Amino acid sequence: MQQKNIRNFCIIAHIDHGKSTLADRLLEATGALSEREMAAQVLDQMDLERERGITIKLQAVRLNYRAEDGQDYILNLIDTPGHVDFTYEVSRSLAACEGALLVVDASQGIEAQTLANVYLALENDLEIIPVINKIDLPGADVEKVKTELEEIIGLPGEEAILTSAKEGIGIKEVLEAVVKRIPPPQGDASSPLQALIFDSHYDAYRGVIAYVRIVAGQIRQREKIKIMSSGKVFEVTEIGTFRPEMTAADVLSAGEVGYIIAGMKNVKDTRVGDTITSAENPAPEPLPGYRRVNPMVYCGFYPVDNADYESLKDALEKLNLNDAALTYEPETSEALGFGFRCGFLGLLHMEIIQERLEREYKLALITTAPNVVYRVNLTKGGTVLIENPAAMPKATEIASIEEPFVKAKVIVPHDYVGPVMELCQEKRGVFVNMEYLDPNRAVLTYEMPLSEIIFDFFDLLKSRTRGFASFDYEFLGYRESKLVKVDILINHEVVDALSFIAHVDRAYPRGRQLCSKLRTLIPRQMFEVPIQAAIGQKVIARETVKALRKNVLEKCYGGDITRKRKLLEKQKAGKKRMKQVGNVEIPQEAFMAVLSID
Amino acid sequence: MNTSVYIHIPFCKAKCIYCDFLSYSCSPEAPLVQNYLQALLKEIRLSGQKLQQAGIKVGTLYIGGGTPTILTPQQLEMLFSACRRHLPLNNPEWTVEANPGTLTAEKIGIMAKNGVNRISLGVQDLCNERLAMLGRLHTADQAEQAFLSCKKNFPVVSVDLMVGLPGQAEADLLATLAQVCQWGPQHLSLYGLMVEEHTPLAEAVNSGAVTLPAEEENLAMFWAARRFLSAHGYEAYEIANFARKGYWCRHNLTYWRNLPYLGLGLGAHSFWQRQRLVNTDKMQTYLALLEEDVLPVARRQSVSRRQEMEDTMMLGLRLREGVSFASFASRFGIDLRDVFAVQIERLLQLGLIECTHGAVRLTATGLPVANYVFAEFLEV
Repeated sequence: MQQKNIRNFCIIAHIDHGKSTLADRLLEATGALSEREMAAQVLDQMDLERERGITIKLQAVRLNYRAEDGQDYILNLIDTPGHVDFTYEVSRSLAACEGALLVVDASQGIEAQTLANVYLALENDLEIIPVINKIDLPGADVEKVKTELEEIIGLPGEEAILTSAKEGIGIKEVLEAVVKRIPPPQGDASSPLQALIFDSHYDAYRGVIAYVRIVAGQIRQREKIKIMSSGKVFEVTEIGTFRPEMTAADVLSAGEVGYIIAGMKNVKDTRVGDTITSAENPAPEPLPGYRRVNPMVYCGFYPVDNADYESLKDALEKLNLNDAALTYEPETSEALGFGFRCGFLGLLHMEIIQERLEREYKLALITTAPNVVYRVNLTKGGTVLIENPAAMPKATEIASIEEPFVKAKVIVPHDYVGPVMELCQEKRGVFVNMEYLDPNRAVLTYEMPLSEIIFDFFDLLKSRTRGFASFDYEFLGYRESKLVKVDILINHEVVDALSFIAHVDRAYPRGRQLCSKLRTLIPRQMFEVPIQAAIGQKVIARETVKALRKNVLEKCYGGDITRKRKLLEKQKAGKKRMKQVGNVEIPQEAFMAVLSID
Repeated sequence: MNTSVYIHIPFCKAKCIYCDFLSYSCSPEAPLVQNYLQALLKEIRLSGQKLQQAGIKVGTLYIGGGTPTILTPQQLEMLFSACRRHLPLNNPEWTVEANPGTLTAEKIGIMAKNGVNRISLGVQDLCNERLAMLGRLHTADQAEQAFLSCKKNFPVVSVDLMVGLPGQAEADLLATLAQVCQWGPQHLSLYGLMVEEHTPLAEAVNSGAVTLPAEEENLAMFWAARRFLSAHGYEAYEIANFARKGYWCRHNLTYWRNLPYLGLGLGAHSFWQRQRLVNTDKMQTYLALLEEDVLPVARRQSVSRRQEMEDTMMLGLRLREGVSFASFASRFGIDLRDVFAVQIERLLQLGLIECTHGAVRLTATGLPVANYVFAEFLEV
């Protein structure tokens, strides 16, 4: 197939605006899958994704399409994850395309993620085709969305395609627009090979499968290839395209999208954004834009039952095979024993991993409250990165502490501007500006510490705006803040897994709140248990869990021994889910309690 | 060899607000009651044959409910004579649970004549207001009258009282105890009120309509009652049971010593040949099965040796005498201190149990938190 008959495109949208349904319809309309073959929303393959209605792992599919001009085209649709945690991945899959369908919900209009994605697409010089979806819904206001497109993004509203992916309306028009409006790929097939990795996944039988866009040159079976960032060389065992199942091919040429299997054992060998070239005739330069993504959020995973440590390690290893962004290091907590400190791109990423460990690997885990990475400048000179609050150096050794800041954009109806500003201020946000998208909706921009966002910002934002706000953020950099470490002592012992870092102005109330929260979570023991919060040696809050005084079954169940037994077994089972710290039994929820204060 | 038999009468005039036992509120003249008795009589006959064949005699017989004394004199006569005819009684301790509101001279006469020698009288409290609030259908005076009649006709009368009732203060409880002690029962059971799910009491507590004594008050009453009864010659031989010397309830000892027993009637439980058996709790099924001469067992579960050892601890520790090393060893062929070494070590350290007089038993510290101790012995 000639380059002029290839189109590479992706779909970008705010969550729930109908991206996956549109993708399904395009597959159906081009015969890539018959209706019967389609499980709902083929592109989202993981159960978790289907449940949450979001795309986490990217997928790609090749569509064959005979256009109205009578010619046959290959349309490569590259799906993108729809969450801020995965912004870098999105940017790399956009880099693999020449155009993007921008899907906007006809009743919701432009949202925070829509904007974030549009900016990414513009950075990558993509041709953007606006699609106004869900026009069949009663609340649809096509004219209003057209105006928004023009005024907010500067796209001609009248060029927007009107669709209802659910009802199959406008699908043909979308396909024609992809052919007519998105430019064919450029790139010289005779140049040295440059293949952009936009995703990869680990297959137990075939090793790593790299998803690539051939930007220049060609790749063939059994060719020796080189990963440009690492210099590692592999021999190609198979190349091919997604139709949507993997179909082997002899050659992939500039402009095409496909996969490469080359005996790579770990997705770390094929990091997103990296360039694959030919080992014998390498390209002089890698493709621009590659960077190592670093975890932004950390937390500790500990098996409830210490005997599960090895299983947890195996599970993390397996997940890591498919997720280069996940990091994990063994860690020992005095309170929780042996576990792992894990790094994630964001909170969602963390929740996904946690859920997969619990569901797919059936592990009972204690998760410590997530925290960001702090940069601590020491008085004796030098800087250390702190991924675990418990590891914070003594106050006397610290010259200053820096924490990551983000630029947060909240789009919100006019009526909620006040509450959102209040919330951002509570969360130590620094106001940057406010712009009105239309008379009714404003974009608020704040600079905020990431640590405040990973607490309960999403939930609070949702509840204070009745779900009307949309939110997105990007990393700004590290800034100095007045931070202190707060320790929690239970029965006079520091429980390292409960230590947290807070702004000095908030340390006292947070300490107090956490103590009183813990008092409700820690069941009464056979003795009185004091709970204290302390900064250094100084106790700033204290609560007491009173001793268990009476727990005796004085009722006669007659011969129903089974019932007595069940009652006691229930009591015992509750204890089993707890962690013994010193003499005190602490339930799992306690280690996450720091999240639900404020 | 002797065993124990329990017979369940699942009928009450009205249900008390705290009760979650299996019982229907209806009149004894209802056809349901008549049908039930027919079926029950058959179960008694079938079980009696089983016992005869095994050469096992009945050492204790306990008729409970519900309210057994709701039955008419004729029905009682029928039930008792069936027991005497079909069960291989061996001069048993024969208890009937009685409700002061349903007891009459005629019924007392029938019970005494048939060989009932122990009455467990559900007095619960002597505050009329509280009795009414709990849904009890008798007054304090009626309870006293019932007690006195029973005392004249039976060698042993036991009184059931409740602790931790709404609005009950320590002084109330002690006054009740003083009065009951004057009556002079040989045996007393002191049950803590438990709020069971799906009872009117649970609703009232959840809605705030009823307030129960706080834990500290309950604890204080628990100890005050024990002190009082001990001073009046009642030994606390079990967590909730008190008796004058020689009047321990032999039937309940069967449960606490984890020995075999048969339960007859709707939803009754048995422990027989290392199995826990439960009769169906569905009335229609119960009637239909016995119509076909089939024992109405709905569930049966083998008890593993480990489980039997755990049960022996959990039940035996309820008794003041505890679990004796010798009896455990002769039953299981192993020392309980080897089986439960870790648990015993931990509980000794916490001061909740002691190993003295050849037995393991609860200490005064362990007694009010006995559930914690029992749970330690269970493998979950």
